[in-house]
Amino acid sequence: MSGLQPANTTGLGPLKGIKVLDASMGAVGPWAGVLLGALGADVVKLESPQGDFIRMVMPTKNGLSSTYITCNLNKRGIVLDLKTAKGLRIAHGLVAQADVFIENFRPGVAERIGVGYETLSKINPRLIYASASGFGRQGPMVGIGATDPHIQAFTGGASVNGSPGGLRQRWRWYGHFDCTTAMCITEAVLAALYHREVSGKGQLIRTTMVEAGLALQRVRIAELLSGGSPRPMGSATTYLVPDQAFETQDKPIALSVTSRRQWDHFCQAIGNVALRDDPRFSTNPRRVEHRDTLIPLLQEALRTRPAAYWLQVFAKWNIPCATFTSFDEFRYHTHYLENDMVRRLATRDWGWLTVGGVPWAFSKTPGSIRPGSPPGEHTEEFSKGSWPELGPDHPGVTPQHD
Amino acid sequence: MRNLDELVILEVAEGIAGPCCGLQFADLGAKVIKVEPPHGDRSREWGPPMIGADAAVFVHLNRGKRSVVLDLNRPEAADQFLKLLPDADAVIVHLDPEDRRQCSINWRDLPRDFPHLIVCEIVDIGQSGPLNERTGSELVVQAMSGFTRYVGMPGGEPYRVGFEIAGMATAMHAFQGVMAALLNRARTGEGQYLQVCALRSLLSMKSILMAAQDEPDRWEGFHLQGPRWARDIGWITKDGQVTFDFRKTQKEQWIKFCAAIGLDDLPDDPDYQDWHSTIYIGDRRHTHGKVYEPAFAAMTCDEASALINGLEGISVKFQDYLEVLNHPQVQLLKPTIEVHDSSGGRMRQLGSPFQLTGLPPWETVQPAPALGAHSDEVLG
Repeated sequence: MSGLQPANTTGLGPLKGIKVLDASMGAVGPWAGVLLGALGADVVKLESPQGDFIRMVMPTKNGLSSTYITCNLNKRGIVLDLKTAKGLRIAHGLVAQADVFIENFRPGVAERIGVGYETLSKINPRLIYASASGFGRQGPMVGIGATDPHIQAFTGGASVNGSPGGLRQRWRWYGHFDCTTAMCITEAVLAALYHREVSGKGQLIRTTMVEAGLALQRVRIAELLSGGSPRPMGSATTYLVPDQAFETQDKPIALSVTSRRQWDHFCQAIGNVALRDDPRFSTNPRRVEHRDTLIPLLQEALRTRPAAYWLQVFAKWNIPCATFTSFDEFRYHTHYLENDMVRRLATRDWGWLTVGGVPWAFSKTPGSIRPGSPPGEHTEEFSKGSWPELGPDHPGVTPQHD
Repeated sequence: MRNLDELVILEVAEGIAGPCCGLQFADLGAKVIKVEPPHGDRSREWGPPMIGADAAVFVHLNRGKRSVVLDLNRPEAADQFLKLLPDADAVIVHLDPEDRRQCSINWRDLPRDFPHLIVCEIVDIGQSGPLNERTGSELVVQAMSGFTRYVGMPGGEPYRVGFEIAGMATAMHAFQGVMAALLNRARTGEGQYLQVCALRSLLSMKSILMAAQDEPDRWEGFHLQGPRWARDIGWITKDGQVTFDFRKTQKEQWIKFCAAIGLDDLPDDPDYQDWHSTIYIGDRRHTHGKVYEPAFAAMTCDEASALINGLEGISVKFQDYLEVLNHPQVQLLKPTIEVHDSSGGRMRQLGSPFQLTGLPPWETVQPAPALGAHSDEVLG
């Protein structure tokens, strides 16, 4: 009987014993599989003989798409042709042993090829069936392909980036809306697994990239629905002041004052307590109102010293402040490495790989990030009707890090 | 064992990340008790826009919760807080460094005294390492994770990503961590401590990008050049901006598109044999995409999207939030729910991005609480 097993403290995550059959493609479903795998689940990526389209996305590492490699960390890979009776029989056999099934086929395809919710929930009533799509299952946009950059534009993501009054601009990292949808799938799967512990029943869970994209922007949408006007403001935002980039003597800093105490400390740190006591600036709503008066005063003060000075002073006063950095600057930074923010993995097939670390630091069930396998590496052993145990010495999934 | 709608969550957190984690538990029906300092959650003042006395940001992220006031830096208040723990399933805590030092509660060790308890501590920049105990903000975490380089102009003044990516990533990881720990407790009976860090959360979500940048096979395009490309404004029409894409396998459709906009000779141009890199977010879009611009300038957004989608390509408008919420496709998804407001009326808010079809449907949700509204009821 599949299901949760007690985890122990030897590096196994809280989902030890949970089996996930991940039939999804691209990043939207697959990144959810990565997260469940990092939590200790045994995740198997199921591909068709044509393969996941993400293999076409550049760049490559040793010939395989780095996006494919990243979106299939923590997984074993199998290839089945669900259009043949044999392939479908094997898939159904695995579903009978699985706890979670993830799919993001185009609407209607899962049902047509024999892995729809109705079919799979009859095979396994305890199954959590996670279904994700771009725009939903019906309506005028359903036939239109949904990928991250289109969803960014469609859900309003470009309407708050850029210069005040300027053109709408997208964010040129085209994957965050995919990964955000995956984060929603992961949340829903975990909630449904918990519900199953109480009720004994599996269920269908659904999300769309549109809903995930809106949830990502929920603070700005709350402003809109309350009569506000979310809009591009460069490095600043509508509802908090000061909270923006400032020039210093050498390079810009990001600086935020988020609370009454931070405002008090900030005024002391820049040596201007008169500002603190000025009724125009005493609360955040008043500073928002008098933004155009206040910001030039602050800019004048901050320009007198270099960034390193302000970083030091504001750290002492517990004021949020940083310089604007890049991957090349932080990838070898002790702080980032020590806090498992940047993880270098030694892989058997693709050399060194840099990804994020485990997002949760659990005291008892730590979880892990492991290289996955090349497409279909485990097809044969999964074709005999059983779900082979995930051993610690399994080729390609051996935990290795420096 | 408690079901989702019977869980008791204590939220000792202000701003966005912690409260948005709590919100997701409240949305599943859990009882979420917000423990606020005497001044209240700082985001009550994060406006305008305001709804009554509180900022819209706060009113949204704290719907359906209860509020008690406890100054945890005072020992007697900390004792009162500890009395709530036997009945609580999880604590979400996110404190400023000075409060973390001053408060007598050792969050990491709480599950020792309350073995069933899950404690999820949120930190901004990390608890060890050279930047240990630094405090953060949405903008600071964006800057420290390199995300701001993907908006604005290369080498230009720094911009932010205009929505709260750090707060949301942290909230979602915190929710996942607590839910996974609850699952583990269901089998072992044991709670535990876990920590989620805003900077690590945002970098986890950047894994695809970091992997692409780490010594790939020879390649200079997509996923590497984002910081160096000009701002991505899509394609400008008479009445707005649109996206424009044909898949790599759709060369025939692209040729039809060229013919439709009077560029009949373009498919024969040797410089356009690699046509796909000249459209969408291709790496030659900024140098070779200009030929399409006059055609877009002569159409409306609707006309451009109808032409491209009619040829099986992909084109959508760069919408604002009002446009997306009013879009017929989005109306079918019913993304908003009805929430009571504090003056006896009702308002619309964004609901949950996922549906658990085995759970009962939404009811009208209670409003965000006034500061300390439930102190008597909860503290007795």
